[in-house]
Amino acid sequence: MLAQTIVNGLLLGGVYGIATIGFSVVWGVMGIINLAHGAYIMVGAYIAFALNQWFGLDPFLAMPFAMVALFVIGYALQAFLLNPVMHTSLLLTLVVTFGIDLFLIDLFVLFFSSDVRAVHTAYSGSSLEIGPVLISWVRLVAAILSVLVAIASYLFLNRTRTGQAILATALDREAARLMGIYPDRAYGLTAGLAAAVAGAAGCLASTIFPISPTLGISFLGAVFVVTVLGGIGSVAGVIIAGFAYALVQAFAATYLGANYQQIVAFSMFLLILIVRPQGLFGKPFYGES
Amino acid sequence: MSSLLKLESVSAAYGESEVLWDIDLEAPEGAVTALVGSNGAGKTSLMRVVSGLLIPTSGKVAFAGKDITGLVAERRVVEGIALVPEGRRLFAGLSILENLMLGAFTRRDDRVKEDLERVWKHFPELADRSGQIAGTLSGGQQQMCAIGRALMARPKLLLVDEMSLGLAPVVVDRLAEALLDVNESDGLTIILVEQDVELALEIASRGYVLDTGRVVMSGEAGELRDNPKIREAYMGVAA
Repeated sequence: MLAQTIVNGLLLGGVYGIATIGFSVVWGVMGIINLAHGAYIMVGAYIAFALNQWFGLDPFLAMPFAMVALFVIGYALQAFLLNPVMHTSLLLTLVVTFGIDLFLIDLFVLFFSSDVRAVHTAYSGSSLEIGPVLISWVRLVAAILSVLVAIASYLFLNRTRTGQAILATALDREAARLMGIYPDRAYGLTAGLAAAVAGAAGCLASTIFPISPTLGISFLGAVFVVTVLGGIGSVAGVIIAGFAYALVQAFAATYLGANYQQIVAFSMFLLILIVRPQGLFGKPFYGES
Repeated sequence: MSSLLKLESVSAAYGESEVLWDIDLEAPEGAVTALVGSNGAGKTSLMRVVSGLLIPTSGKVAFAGKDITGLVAERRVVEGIALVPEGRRLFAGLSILENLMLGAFTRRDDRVKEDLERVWKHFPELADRSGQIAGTLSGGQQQMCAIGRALMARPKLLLVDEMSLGLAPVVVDRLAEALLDVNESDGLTIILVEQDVELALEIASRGYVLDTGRVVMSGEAGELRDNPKIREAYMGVAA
């Protein structure tokens, strides 16, 4: 049972990781706590669901479509709604992102109703058996894809010219302007990419969890915990924290019962906040060094 | 010598509070121009106007014969103006090399590598530790990195704001040497903003003295250096 619990945790960890990357990077780069991030994940899940229903597309193959759609949504919302308010006050950005969250949830209730849905594939029920441990194919593929998306995000931020421009803007907005970098464009790109990765997470989530327009709300809780655990803005930290979070949940579910998963996970969150407010890995975001 | 930069009766303000009044200034092409004055005289604000971070409320800024008064900072880099800001303003969490490459952000030509080699040549201690995080460098090394970053833009006009602040004289000498070298070998036009009036007027061929947001004196650097008023007010020498 121990081995199965660890496997369960590890398989979900990647999904929590990439569900969090965008939220964490947006917070680190722009100082925006995006309350609509969970809704982006929900939109990604519905894109996978709809493409599966209408065209029979595999939910994993829906990822590129969801990423492109959410990039556009994330970029546009940043450019038109958030850039104008982001230098005013934290409260205003919270209000705006909360508004976006409510809007997206209601929009999806309107189109898809609030019924709980599920994405089924031919291989949904099948598993790989290694000794006493069962590994669901769906979860295994989701875990592998999560890690790939995470690596791509990390390399983009740290190894490309555009990624460097985003980091530079985060570190010193005015000095970035002196390099010829337009901060508003860098913020738009950051928000777009964050939403795109959330969309990918949504597609993966659709293969594992039942989906409804409020799917994002429960995700947002997990995303908060994983961000604080991993350190704000740190892609690598967030991925490791995603695994830690999923493992704690898996252990709580196995040994205490499914009702305790959230309680234990959030207790861990509070404990970390008290003991290590800078996150598990102690590396402050670039901007705060 | 023609002027690369020309300011005509430029005034500027931060919101309601005016900081610069009616500034006329010229930077001759290929020369080093000094801008001196005490703390709060408006030197840094003037550099912000030239680099495009602060758009003037009135007056005209011309660069290479072109009116750039309303041009934003991001565009002025492409036009050929690079600023080494006061306090260095390096990207503290990124490495030396990453900082330098960000200096060349807008460039599409194939001479970036060549320019990087030149920065390494001027400041070999940066080359030895190119992967080190900029925030962990000493003050002198940070200033070298900041100057290197501005040079990576391959500018026509280099603005250097308070280069010597808080640095040891021996380090300041090295930085000054590097600036003179790029000025002489490439004909790079430089505006040097300094509280260290003696240093600035020694390097420069022309100078402007700023006081409470106005140009109060200008002329050949040598004349200014010998001017008893300046010697008394800024160099601590009794007239």
